[in-house]
Amino acid sequence: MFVTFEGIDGAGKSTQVGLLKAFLEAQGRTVVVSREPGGTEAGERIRELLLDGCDISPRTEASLFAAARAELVEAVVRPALASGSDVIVDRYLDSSLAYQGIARGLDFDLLYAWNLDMVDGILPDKTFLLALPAEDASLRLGPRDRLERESVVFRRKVEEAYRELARRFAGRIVELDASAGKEEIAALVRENVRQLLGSTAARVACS
Amino acid sequence: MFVTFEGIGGAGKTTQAELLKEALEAEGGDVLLTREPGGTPLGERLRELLLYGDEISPWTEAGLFMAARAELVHGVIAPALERGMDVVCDRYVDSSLAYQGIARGLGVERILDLNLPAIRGLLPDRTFFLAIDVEVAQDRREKSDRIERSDRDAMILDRAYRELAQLFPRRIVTVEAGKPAREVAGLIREQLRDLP
Repeated sequence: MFVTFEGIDGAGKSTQVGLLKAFLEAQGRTVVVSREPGGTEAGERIRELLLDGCDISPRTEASLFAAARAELVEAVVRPALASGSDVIVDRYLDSSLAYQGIARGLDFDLLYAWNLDMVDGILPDKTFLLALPAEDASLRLGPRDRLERESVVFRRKVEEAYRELARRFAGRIVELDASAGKEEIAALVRENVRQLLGSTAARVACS
Repeated sequence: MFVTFEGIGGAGKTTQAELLKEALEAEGGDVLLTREPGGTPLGERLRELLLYGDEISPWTEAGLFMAARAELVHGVIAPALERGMDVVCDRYVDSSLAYQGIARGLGVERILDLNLPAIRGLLPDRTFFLAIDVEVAQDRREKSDRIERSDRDAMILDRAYRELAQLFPRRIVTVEAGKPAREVAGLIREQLRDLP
């Protein structure tokens, strides 16, 4: 089973990744956890390049993320899935679609085609979007200075972009209210995962 | 005018790119010479990662070359062409078509489809494939990088470039590069007379 978590920074992705991992392991399953960009040696170096924040063009940025993702798939995700492990990744292709696609205005279809090619068509079985409601404190404009306002405006744009993705890929992306308690969110995640495991088990049993 | 040079390591790309720049400048042209991967601060760091880093998957390699290229077009090539300069580039998109597309088997069409948006559709007016005997090239080469480790790699790439020259006969001109550099440079300059 391949599951990813998405959402803006601070939405609680890594907490939920940890909780799901613990749950699956308690069921006796082997779990591989990773993050992107990063998660591989080349990925970490690409992550450094991206975080160094030299002023790069949106297309360059998108290519770098796609490259890091390709490496993650080849070095981590595909081998783990092939060996029967579950894979949980903190951010995956939807991050590119939300950040570079919708929020930075790169052509969505182009980005989707690029990314699908680079990950060789490997999509998650389920993606959990931790979405913050517009009234969340970190998204309120309020009395802030200019940089803070810009950052808030961008976060709202990304939030909106993620919601659009959730509508577009309704079968794959499950939108969860990130302002709920972490145990409550984790329970919803588990419920979805149980269904997924049930259907996978049924599929295996039938084949 | 946008001109690129392609060929295996040791074919003389850097030398010919420099000689072309000299020739065009001697005729009063304003020329920008660059190379890839590299040519921008990010590109140079990617160059290190690509040429001397650890083993990476073919798609990762394709993505990194593409990133370096996107940055080069955005920050260097497109602005120079817009200012009316001539641009001479040591390696460009055909390197990816040859390395990742043919040699690593990802497919010329797929790699071209991926790269065209990254370079905003900006293909060279002319590309010179410097064709050279693999053994001669080996003697000329100073150090080998990760992409081209052995004679066998060089032979695969040589074949790949020849295939590309057939696929894009209008843009790619094959030049026998075993001759003295000045002679090759003269041939190249002649091949550009029909371009504005």
